[in-house]
Amino acid sequence: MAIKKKSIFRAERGSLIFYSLMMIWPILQFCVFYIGVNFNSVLLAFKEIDPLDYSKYTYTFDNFTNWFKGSSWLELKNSLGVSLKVYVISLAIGVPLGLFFSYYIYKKMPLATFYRVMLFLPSILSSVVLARLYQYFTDWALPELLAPLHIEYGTKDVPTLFATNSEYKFVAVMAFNIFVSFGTTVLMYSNKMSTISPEIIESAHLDGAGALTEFFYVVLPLSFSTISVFLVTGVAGIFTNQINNYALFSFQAPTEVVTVGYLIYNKTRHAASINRMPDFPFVAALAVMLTLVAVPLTYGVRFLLNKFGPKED
Amino acid sequence: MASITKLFKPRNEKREKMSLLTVIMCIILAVYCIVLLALIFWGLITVLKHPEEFLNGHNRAGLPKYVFLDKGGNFVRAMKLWHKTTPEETTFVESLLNSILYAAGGAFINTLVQCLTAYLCARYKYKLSKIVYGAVIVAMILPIVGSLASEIEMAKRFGLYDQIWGTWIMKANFLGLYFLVFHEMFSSMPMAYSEAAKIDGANDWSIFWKIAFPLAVNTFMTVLLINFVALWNDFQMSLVYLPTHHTMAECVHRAFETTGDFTAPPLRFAFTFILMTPILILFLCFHKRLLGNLTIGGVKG
Repeated sequence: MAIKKKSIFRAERGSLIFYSLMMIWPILQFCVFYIGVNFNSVLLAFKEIDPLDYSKYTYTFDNFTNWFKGSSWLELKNSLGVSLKVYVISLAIGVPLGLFFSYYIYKKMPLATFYRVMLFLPSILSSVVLARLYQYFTDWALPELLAPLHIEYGTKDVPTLFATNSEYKFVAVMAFNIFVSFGTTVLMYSNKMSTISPEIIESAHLDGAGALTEFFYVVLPLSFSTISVFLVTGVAGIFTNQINNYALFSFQAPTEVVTVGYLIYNKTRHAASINRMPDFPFVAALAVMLTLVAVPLTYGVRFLLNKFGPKED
Repeated sequence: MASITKLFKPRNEKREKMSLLTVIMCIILAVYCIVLLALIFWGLITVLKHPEEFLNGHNRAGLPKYVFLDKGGNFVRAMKLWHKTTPEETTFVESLLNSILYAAGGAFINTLVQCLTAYLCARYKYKLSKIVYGAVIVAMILPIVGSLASEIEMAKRFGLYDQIWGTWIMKANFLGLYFLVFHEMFSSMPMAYSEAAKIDGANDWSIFWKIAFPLAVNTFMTVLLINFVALWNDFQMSLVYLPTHHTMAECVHRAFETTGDFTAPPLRFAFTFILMTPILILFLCFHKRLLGNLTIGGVKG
């Protein structure tokens, strides 16, 4: 009995040693690159780094207040407006389309497998490839293709440089973003829908449910746990989504399409490329302010979805 | 956390009749596919045009008047001019090597850390396991915006900046959706296997490598593939963290920003096709694995 207890103890001790050793790296990495980075981000937001000696700094609130003055405020106000517009449009067009596409694939309608592959294709191609193909096509080829229409029907002039330099650039950029947005979501939604028991669908059919009723009253509620993951995590996307601006326009995106995510990335990249550390705190301050807005917003949406969203049971 | 991962199994029931809704969806999807394929096809025919034909011949949308493949055409020219995209004059081979190291190394380390941490949390019921699981959920829901400036500063401080191995270390974390995928997989694995191995004298290390990991290898490969594709295509992070180790994606991005020899779109598109060819081959070989293996459920925490 004593020998058995001893061997169990030895095995448990061995497991604990294995567990502890294997956990060292993940915990260390998490502490440095998640907790440490974010803590440093908050500290950085209050720093004023000496431009002549980067090791010297003082603490200040100016990094926060300067965002609400002069050209920085105009820049921030504009990018916030664009970001909100992007979020609403994606929510109103991208999400419903993604759900309907998933439903089509889940129902195994004609060419469903092919459509599934095609919807996923933009996700595996680099954004720089697809974005530039789209940009050059709309800028150079589309005007040439639409030119005969102009002659035949007397329509309005087809703008050259459609995506880059016309009054439609926001529309063009949004169209592209919605176009490439379906890959992962459709994959996840349709996989989740495929877990719905066929008996439930059959009983809905026996009750006389048509496709729309089946979609809204059976499929949507039973897939809602997956949909809500994307809806909740998507809220922070208001402040992080760059709408492929960097792939389309590099660091020269027109004002009409500059989002907060792009603004933060571009300012950080610029500061890093010329090794200007004193510019980092200004960006970090904006990041801290936006996180303070994003946290309650995300939890608010999560609360509302949990309370009012459809329940699987 | 409701059902997170299940192997995708095609259902065998009969195909249903099409309704008005599905007919409309079919039309929209058909248009989507035509636009996407047309875009790629247009890119391909543009690469096959002589730069002069595109720029001065005013043939931007049509088929090439003659297929420009003399001495390899735009593809070979792109490879020869590759070094001109970067100030360090990174050659095609160097950027290819950088891409392989950045994407394969980063993807492998990230997937391995996620897989191993998920295994430890799922199979060892210590308090730390619960804390780690909670941290993943919190990190997913808690939106932290724009910590890039701070991350660069930290990377510089630790000597990881502008080092490919440095990006591996930064990516060797367990956070993210795939941790949950692995966690669900290991949780649903019967304990009987590991208990039997323990009776036979196997230690925890060999139980993981010889029993648990082979059972999870399918999911591991899928996640590895997804991570590899994402890193291969990524140019924004390498642009920031690897200012002198240019990857292929970054060189392609730079080709569109460089003037002089690079102004002609047929040449620029040759760069994009060179970048996407390996990924398209991977996709054609592994599309079933990429498309069919993962589902996620709701996150409750």
